[in-house]
Amino acid sequence: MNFINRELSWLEFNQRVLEEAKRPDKPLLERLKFLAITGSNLDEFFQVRVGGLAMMRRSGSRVTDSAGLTPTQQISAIRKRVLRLAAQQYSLLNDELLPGMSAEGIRLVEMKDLTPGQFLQASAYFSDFVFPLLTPLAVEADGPRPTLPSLEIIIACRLQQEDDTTRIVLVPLGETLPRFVPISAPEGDSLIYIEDLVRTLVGELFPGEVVTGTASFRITRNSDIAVQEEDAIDLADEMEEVLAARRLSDTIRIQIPAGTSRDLLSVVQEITKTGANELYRLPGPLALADFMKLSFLAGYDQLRDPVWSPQQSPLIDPGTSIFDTIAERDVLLIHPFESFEPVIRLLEEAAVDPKVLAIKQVLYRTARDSRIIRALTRAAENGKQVTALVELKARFDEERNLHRAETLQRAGVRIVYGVKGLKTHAKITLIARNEDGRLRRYVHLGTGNYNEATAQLYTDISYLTCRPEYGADASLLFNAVTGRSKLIRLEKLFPAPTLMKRRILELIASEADRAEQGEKARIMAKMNSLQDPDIINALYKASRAGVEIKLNVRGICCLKPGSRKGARNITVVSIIDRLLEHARVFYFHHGGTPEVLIASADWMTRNLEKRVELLVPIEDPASRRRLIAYLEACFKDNTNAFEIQSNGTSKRIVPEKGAKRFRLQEHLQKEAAKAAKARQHDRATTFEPHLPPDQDD
Amino acid sequence: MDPAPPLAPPRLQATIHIGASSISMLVVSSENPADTPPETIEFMEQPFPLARDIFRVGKVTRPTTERAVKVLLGFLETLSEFGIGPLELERVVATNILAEASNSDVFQNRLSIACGLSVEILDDGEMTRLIYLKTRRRLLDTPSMRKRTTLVVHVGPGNTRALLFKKGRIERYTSYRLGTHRSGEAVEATHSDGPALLRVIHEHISGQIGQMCFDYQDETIEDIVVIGYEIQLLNPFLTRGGLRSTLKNLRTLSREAASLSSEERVRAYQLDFHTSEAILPALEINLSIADAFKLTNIRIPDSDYERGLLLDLPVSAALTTGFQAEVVRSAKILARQYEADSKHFNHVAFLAKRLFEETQKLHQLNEHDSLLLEIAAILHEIGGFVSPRSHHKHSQYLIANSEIFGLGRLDVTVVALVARYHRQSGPKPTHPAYRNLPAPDRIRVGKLAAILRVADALERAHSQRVRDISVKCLRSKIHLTLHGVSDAAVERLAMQSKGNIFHDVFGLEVVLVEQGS
Repeated sequence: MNFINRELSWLEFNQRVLEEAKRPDKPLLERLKFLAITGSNLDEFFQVRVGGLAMMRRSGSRVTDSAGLTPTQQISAIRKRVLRLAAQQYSLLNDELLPGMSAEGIRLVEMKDLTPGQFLQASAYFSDFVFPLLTPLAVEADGPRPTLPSLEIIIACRLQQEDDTTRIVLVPLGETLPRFVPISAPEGDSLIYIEDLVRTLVGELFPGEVVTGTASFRITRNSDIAVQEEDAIDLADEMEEVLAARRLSDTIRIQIPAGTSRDLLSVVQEITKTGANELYRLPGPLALADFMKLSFLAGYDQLRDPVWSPQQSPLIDPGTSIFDTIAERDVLLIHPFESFEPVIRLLEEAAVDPKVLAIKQVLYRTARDSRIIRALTRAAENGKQVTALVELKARFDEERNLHRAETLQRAGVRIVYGVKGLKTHAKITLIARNEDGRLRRYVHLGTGNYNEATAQLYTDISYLTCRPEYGADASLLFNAVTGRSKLIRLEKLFPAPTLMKRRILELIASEADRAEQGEKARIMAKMNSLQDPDIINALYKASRAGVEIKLNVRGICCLKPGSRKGARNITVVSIIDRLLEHARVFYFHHGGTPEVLIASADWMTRNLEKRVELLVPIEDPASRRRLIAYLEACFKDNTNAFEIQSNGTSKRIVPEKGAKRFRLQEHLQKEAAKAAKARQHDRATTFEPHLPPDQDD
Repeated sequence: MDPAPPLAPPRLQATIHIGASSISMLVVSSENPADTPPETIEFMEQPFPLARDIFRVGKVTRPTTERAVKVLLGFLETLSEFGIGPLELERVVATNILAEASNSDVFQNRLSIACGLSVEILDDGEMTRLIYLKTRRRLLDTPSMRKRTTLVVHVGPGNTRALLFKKGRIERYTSYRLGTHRSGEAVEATHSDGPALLRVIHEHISGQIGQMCFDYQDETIEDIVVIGYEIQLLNPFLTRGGLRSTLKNLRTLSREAASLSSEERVRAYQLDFHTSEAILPALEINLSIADAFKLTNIRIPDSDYERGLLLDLPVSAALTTGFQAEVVRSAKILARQYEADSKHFNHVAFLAKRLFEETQKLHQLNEHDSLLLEIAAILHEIGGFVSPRSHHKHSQYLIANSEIFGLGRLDVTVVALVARYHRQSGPKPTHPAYRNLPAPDRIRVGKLAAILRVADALERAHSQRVRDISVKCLRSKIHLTLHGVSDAAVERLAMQSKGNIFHDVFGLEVVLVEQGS
């Protein structure tokens, strides 16, 4: 088989994240953060991927994936790999991280080890803050099975009643209680696990009964429920139904700490209708994702990396209107090394600019208290024509997006709930401005979401331009996604699902042709995931033709690189560092006049065929040069990079003997800081007087 | 601080076309200098099954009407984003097959009520103007076309129009009830598919193709340019990036398309369903035409038909001088076909035009009316071909049933009536064609006929002796000084019977004055 199984490849990615947590040269709380990420990654993986496979298995499907595995084979391979991963996670936590933290003054203590004073404090906390929030669910022998929440810690209690009969009660801890409860200590910070606190004091909930046993556990439900949207008249109504359905869907994983009593375990398995294949016994605390909060514990900065602040791009002058800046030249930003602020400013300026007629934007995932949403609202209130396509199908964000859409609609924003049958994932904003009777369109095209929060943690590209062809294309795309027009052939942009894949295949084939004719041929591509079999086959073919192919793939990679004949010229490198690699940038040598493109999509069938995405050629020479340098730097990293092996595993890249250390993200941060500083120096030495309006030009 | 003055909306020009299988809108910047193509701001298109309704049930069904309303409201919303209201639209036109719907008025009414749009149906005259505009561009960028005898064929949804160009000028114009959707719907009932369907289409269209061959049998066609919504959409599959397709390519594509299901056709050629219904007839009609004229290849413009049409709409409403000359030429070719006396009709046309110019303040008519007057003058005596007796009546029906390049139905009716009234009775409510005209057009006919009669009286001798005229208006009289005439007895006699309508319409008695008297 020429392909690596997608799920196993993803698990290898999670392994790479775990490798970062294992690095003794990293600050302790950064390591804890990476460990927590592996936990939350796995949660999502089970909900979506394993959930989907479980549904396929249940429907009797024996369809094999491109690597030749049936759903059942995949589920069993996943289980094996996850168990190995879990063993590493917990030995790291128990043997290195927790002892290390304890030595630094962050102690996780058990209830039984508390001093009497501390115990009293914990009891008071329980009575005041925890007790009122607990809602026990009784399990009746013949009654209906209670519906259990997914990904929450639940305490199962065996209660002995006065007449000596026993009953089982389940107590979900809910989403609002903190996982770690601080307890005053003579020095440092002592914390107790919430589940330990509740297990110890749960008897208070059941006066007159005796708690004879407790166990904590956590279940994961399937969330990959397809929306039968073609039959739905109103998509918004239907999404609410899907959300409700998710609460009731199948349990696909149950996690319990090792050492849980057998009888409570069998009750829990009975209620969740799960067997040994879904059961994961963990040699330590549940929900590793919760340790993320602990990594942000106040103080302890010596246990964290120094802060990297986003820098002002030298192309942006805070004193000049962003419209004037873009009118002068295209602006390319590499986030978060360069601040996302100009993108937000574009919308904030547009909201109050009397020349702005219309704003159109696709919103996929937005931040909680979003300045972008506020700007759109203000723009609508100021009488601008504002259209927002709010993608309700953004996984796990449906509820927030639905709520957001309603708020925007009340402010007068025209809302479109995505495109039927397709998820709208393109990152695009269009602003139409009336400049002395001439219409000029400003466009932002990006690789990341319009989310100020993630824009500080994900590496992404923003391209701001007012080139007329890009404006016209953006208009056509918005007309199509808002249902006002069919999708008409665009001039510059290549949208999915219609043209993007075809264009990528054309570009790869063209490199292959050139290589066969003896020309230099080279491809560099950076993305999150590489899975589409057609593209992978095209890459194999190009490799055989002699094209040098360098791929920087953060997550899933179904392509088998390496020494085999078909992939001899393909190298795949993956970078895991403190910021999430998220940009999609592609380079094709193209006979010496390189094609450089950015995209909202990965090379995955799902993105290329089932989503509205955009592939954006970059025409501005300066921006192209920057992106080429950026891509080249991606393959120089020798501190945080892994090379993907032909069996799908990864091997850390280490500096060759005598070679300098090169860390991509650090390099980009330094470059951005240097450029910002140089620009600041310029400003400090060149004074620009404010002139009366008639002299201003 | 004073509030900033409100911004003037951007200078944009928007046109909408309700076509046979789609509704489209083009917004362009009207800022661009004259010699550069206008910048496209928006182009929107939505599938719309108008032709299917009209050729299947003879009217626009309610769901289709409501679909039009929905699409147009979406377009108007886009326009409002630029600060353009429905009344500021440059033009909203509908394909002329709409006129064949029994409820076309109701449809137009509904769009007016729901969207505030007044929709004009593109008449035949304007369609030919649009084709002429397209062809002229081709002539400019293809020098070989200017030298060769070229047939330009527009295969529309309901009608096909053919224009014969020789040395870059229009020589002949004909039209046929042969169209992509008309034929598609006609053969629909046979439920054939694959090669059988192609055979049925072929049989269905053969009569009209035969007529076209007959009409141009006396010409050696050296080149064919085909224009049309469907064929231009298929251009990339036929010409492979060039401007010519071989007949072989046409035939292969037609067979390939016939072998696909409609779903497969939609995907393979990136069409919408309504358009996919018309591509087989489109391919077969074009193929048959090229075949009939024994050509091995055809030219297909590589531009988008719909965009081009929308771009030309604001221009085509106003007649250009070059175009007027083509219309006049076409009328003269017709007059010669009926063996009219060219010296006479040319001179009557000249005098009528002079009189029209000199009495502009009286009649207040426009340049288009001047053209109609000229055409009526050229054709006023063609009825003589049938019989000298009541030849004005023969002229009327001959004109009314002829294709005059560049003129729409209404224009042709006006020309026919003006020609009819060049002698004998003036306009009367008992004349059905006259009675059926709207009041403003009846008034137009009256004014133009009054002028033509005077011009004809001045050319009574058929000897072009009145070289020119000067005009002087007094209180109740109009003095026409006849250049080159020392004794105007003949003209005066003629004026006694022909000056009456002028007197009635303009309230001025025509007085002839010999030059020098």
